Amino acid sequence: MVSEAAVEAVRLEKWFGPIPALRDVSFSLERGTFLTIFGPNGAGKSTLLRVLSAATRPSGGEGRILGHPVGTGGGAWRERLGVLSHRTFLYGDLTARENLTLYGRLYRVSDLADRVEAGLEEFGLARRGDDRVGGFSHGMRQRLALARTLLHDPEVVFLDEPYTGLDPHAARVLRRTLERLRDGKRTVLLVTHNLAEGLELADRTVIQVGGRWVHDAPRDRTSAAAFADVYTDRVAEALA
Amino acid sequence: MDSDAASDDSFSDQTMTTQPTRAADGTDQSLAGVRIWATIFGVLGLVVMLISLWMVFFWVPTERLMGVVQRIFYVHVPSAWIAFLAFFLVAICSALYLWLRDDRLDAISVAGAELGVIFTTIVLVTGPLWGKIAWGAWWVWEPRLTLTLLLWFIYIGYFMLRGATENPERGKRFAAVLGVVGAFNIPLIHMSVQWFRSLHPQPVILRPEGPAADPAIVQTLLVSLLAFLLIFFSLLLFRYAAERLTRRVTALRLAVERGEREPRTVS
Amino acid sequence: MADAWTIARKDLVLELRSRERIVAMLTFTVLVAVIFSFSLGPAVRAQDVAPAMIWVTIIFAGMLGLGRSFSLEKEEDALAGLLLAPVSREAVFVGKLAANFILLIVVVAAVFFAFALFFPISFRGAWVAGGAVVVLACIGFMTLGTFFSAITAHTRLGDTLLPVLLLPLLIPVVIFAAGATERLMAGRPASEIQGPLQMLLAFDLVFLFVCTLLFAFVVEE
Repeated sequence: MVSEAAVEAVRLEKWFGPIPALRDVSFSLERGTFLTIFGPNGAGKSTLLRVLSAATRPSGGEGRILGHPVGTGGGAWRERLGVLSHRTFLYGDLTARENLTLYGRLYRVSDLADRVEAGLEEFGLARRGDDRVGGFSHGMRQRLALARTLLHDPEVVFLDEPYTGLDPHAARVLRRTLERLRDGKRTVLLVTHNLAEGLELADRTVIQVGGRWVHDAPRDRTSAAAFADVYTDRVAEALA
Repeated sequence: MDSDAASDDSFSDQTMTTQPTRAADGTDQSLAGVRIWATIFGVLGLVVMLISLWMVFFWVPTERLMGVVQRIFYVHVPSAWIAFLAFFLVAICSALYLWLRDDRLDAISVAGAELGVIFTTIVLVTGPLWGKIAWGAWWVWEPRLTLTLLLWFIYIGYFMLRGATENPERGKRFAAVLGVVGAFNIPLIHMSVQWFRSLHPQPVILRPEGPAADPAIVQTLLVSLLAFLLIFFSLLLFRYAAERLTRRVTALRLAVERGEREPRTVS
Repeated sequence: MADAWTIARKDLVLELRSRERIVAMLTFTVLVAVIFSFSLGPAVRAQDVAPAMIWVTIIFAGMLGLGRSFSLEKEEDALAGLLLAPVSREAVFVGKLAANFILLIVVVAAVFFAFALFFPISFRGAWVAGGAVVVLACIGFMTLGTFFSAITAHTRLGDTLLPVLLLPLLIPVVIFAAGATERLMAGRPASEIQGPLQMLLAFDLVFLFVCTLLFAFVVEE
């Protein structure tokens, strides 16, 4: 059990008609690793997360989460995965507390009421818990979406461009949360095109271009500027 | 995960079977085999159709009770049977498509559903032509005619659904789902309209104790059915080949357009 | 099943908050009853046409509410969130179906009330048989209705396409429900509607099975 990888991909392919979004992506991610995937827009980064969370079918290959092959059904492995998308997955006419309770029930969270309160507290929403989400600002919704993602204390967390559109306060909350996840030995797969944010906490960095992984290395102590050079070179090479 | 989802919708046009890599391996590029069979069926169908027309107009005796208008029956009944065959084919291929996701099964479903709509249209035109004389009214809410009309609506909806779905893969899936649900609905609709009221001449050919009609009528009907069957398969194969080629062209065009815009992303 | 109920309850809470569907459906119902009573000439006996009108009203009022069932899931892509949860697709479908069914039953009660108010009709004591017709017909209606509203929510035409796809498929429900209602309101013995009741039950079972199984293909991305 312990030896199996947190996330595995075996020759994943995803084509949208003649256009590739994933081409022969294979990797294995150790438990407790913080992996950041960089890449320009349209590189297929989001598609990779969608395929690995079985939100969409791959055209070929297989993804595995904690040793379980991902299928489009509602398998039990989903209880151990948390996904933060661009969209918040929240219901505007439910209160913050009700939204969390709904997802907590579906994820079979024990001590649900306590977990919900703790989640609201942690993300600074305790005072707005009984307000409808429809009236929330963008940053508050993002914080609530983060609380929703982590409510069931998942072992594997997927985050798709989580910093987009966050106000400074929400961004600080997010950074603190990511640190906590890393220190708690959770496996994190973060997708971003922002080099500074992605590099900060990464143990391993990947650059994806045109559906292919063109760079995959442990994060060394090189500076952000040095990595930026690597990034520019690799993207240019891949497009050449 | 939105930016990619948006691009999914605009670009996802084909399944794996039409990827350039696969299309380039040279297998069955022009679907020549399919088209040869379609031609053979077509020629045979036309020959048998000429024979059946001769039988309908010169050979078979006029039916005593209904008179000369009964001859429309040799078009009406085979069309109805062919339409049911077509929808049955759609249901089978749709279910298989959901299971195997083979683009060819979807292409057969499209061809079958189009022919089903065409043959139900023939039934819906010939039925009232006969009914005007036999019943004295163009349209009567007679169970089997009503069933045909409802089938016609269901499969018109099938094409509207395809047309209204932006992501073609999703359109294929939705159409397949409707093809299966529609097929399950046919017997239920049949029973409900039967219960509603019945005026149609009782089946004279398909009866447990054997055909009751004049043997000449049965023979003419069978020849006519054979002609319709051959023509149906000919049209099905032609339409299938056309559909496959259309999809290939669309895929290639998309690849080229994409290649011009971002020439280096497609390796 | 617990998941299905969680989802159904969520839908009902949302509806209680916004009341957008129920208000639209109830207003529509009363308006139709009023318009029918104006459009019928004095020579027409309302009892003869009321059962048919009742079911036409139910079908259209129901369709009015169905469109929202899945469009509310798409606003913040919440359906994707539900599907990422460890919940079977079947449970999601049954949950949505249950909420739509409960909503429809409220509307049906209002339809019968409104028509009984304007026209001299009643089930003449056959409440159990009448209730069975209503429940079976509404289950069948909402099974196909929920299923196709999930489909049309993902199309460009949206709710416009829903009646086009749904109405031909609902013919058995309309025929058997209206026929049975007519016989009951005419004071015929309940034994006479046994056939329609069995057919409605068969319809429900077939499509509960087929639609629940096929739902995974509808929501798959």
